[in-house]
Amino acid sequence: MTAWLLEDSADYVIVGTGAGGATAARVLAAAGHDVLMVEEGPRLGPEDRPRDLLRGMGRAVRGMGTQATLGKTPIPLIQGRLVGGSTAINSGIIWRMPDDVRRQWTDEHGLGWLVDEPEMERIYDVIEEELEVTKTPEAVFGGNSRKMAEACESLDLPGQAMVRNAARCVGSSNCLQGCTTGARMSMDNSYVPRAIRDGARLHPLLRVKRVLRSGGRATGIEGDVVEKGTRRRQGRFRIHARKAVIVSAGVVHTPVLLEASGIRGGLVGERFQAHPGLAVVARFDEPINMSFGATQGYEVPQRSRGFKLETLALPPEMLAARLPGTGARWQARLAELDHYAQWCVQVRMEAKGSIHRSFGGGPAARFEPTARDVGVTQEAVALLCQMFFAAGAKEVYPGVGHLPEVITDPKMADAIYDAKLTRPDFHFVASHLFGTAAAGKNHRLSVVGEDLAVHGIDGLYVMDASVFPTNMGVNPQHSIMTVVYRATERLANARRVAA
Amino acid sequence: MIGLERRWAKDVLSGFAAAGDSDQGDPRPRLVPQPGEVNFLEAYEGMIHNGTFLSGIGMRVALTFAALSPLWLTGRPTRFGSLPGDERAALLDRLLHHPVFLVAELTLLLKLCACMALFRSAGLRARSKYDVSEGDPSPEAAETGSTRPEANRLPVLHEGQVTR
Repeated sequence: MTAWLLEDSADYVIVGTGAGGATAARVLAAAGHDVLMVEEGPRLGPEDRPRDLLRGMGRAVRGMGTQATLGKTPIPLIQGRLVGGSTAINSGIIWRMPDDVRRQWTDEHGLGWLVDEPEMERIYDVIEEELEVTKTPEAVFGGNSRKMAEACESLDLPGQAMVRNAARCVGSSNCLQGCTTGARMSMDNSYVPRAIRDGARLHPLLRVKRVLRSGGRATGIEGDVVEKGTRRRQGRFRIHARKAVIVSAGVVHTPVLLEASGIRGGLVGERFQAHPGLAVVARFDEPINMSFGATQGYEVPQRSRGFKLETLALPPEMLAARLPGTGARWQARLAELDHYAQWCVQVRMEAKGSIHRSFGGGPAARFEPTARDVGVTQEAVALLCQMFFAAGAKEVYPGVGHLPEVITDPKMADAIYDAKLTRPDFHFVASHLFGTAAAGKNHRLSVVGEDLAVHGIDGLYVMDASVFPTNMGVNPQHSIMTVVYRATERLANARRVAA
Repeated sequence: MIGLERRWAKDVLSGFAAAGDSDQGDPRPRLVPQPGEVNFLEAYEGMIHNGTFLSGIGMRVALTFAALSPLWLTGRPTRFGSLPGDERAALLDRLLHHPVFLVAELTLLLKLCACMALFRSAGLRARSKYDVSEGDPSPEAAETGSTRPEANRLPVLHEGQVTR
């Protein structure tokens, strides 16, 4: 007989506390339901988020950022593993779902109810009010964003200050390591505590291994209790769900959990999409001081061209690793760390991959950018280099194979458009992930319906970016929260009416 | 982790920016770790411990490639750690530019690991000038500290963004 280290029960059991899970908890708890949130990672306050990456990423980022796609050219998949999920390690960038995406979901995937325009507008307003969403003020641009604004002005590009959920940002440039002032309204700092105030409960450090089912219905979850520091297994837990289990484990782990629970085949784990990106660094004669300013404060949307350019102030460890060279040559560059700016591109890739449960039980992700995706990236890198020179950079480091390590002449930046580059020349990283449990009206072409309930299983829902049938070309957090808010309202009201 | 792996980790990671390395006639100021100031082994073990199972294998493969690079890149049966700093750096540079994607990518992972060790040192981080000194805030920092930005109305923006 199993000795359970922890046993509990609730009406609604939510797996994951990122943008999806925390929003579901916020709506259900506010409606008076009995809610229990389960999170694999720890709950970390500002005092638990050291600024050095070795400890900071080790505690907050899954696999310390080394979780990657399989194949000859792996792409790291960055995800938070802590209360708040990836919202606790991102820059809090807020974009409403573009209208062309909303229309595509309606027309091609039968999701008209889920993304109904007036309802989406209503929910956007609620979320933006609650998360203190505002445009990044120039006072916290810092040198990195200010330089991109100058480049946009010089080249007549449609740049704009980013809209973020950090109205009280003081420019500490610590978004990735954890906001030291609590200004960013990530889920650990907003909807999770709000749900708890409304009566929800939170169990961190529980690694869910299976959704329990009985007679075609989800009845709970079970898995391992893990130790905070080592993440070693301490024992087993089981939680009974009286009404429903909501899986919000993220695009990588949601399909793995479904498959481990016997929900296989069809489109589970398929249609994985992403916005992989890469960064370009440049040196200026004047100090840039990336340690001051919003981590990401300025952007150039280029959706019609398939990409978006953003500022990205990285901590010194990551900046140093991006600087070319080794030995004395590298040490000379390290001595000028206050003179660098870093901007990145997020590419809306057409490639579709998959994420399935591997033999060892973890995720096996496959994703290979197409030739078109590589071409779009090349165009974006060329534009970034041109922008740097327009802003006055003296040296640009594209970080792309078969291009010069150091570019000092704007004409060399122009030549990037015509360079013969292939997939292995680019070192991508992906943090915007989509698909793997797509929503749709047609059961054969989707995993969940427009209410985000898993087809054919009562009481089981998926509420995270896994349900997105396409990627979007913009930062997904706001769309995840809004879609989940919409579906959870229906769930809360339906159950209330039934009761 | 066996003794050989530990020795290789110290030799290879310190090779990216060797302590007290000669300046080779370069007059520019450099950020050079002081002897004993940086704990490379701690960073290596931290990444192995916190990384995925596959990345742990990748780190060890990368370390083996680098430690044996004098032999397979130059044909010299020499221990990596016995080479002078500039030769170690040159070998790592060749690995970073290796035509096989995985070799270059895994060496980049080692370089990131070396950076984590370097900037874990408070003294070296302070000398890097990356952080704006608390006692000497930039004009923007001083301004921001006194005026907390208020939530403003969201403007009409491009391509589907917030438009309220």
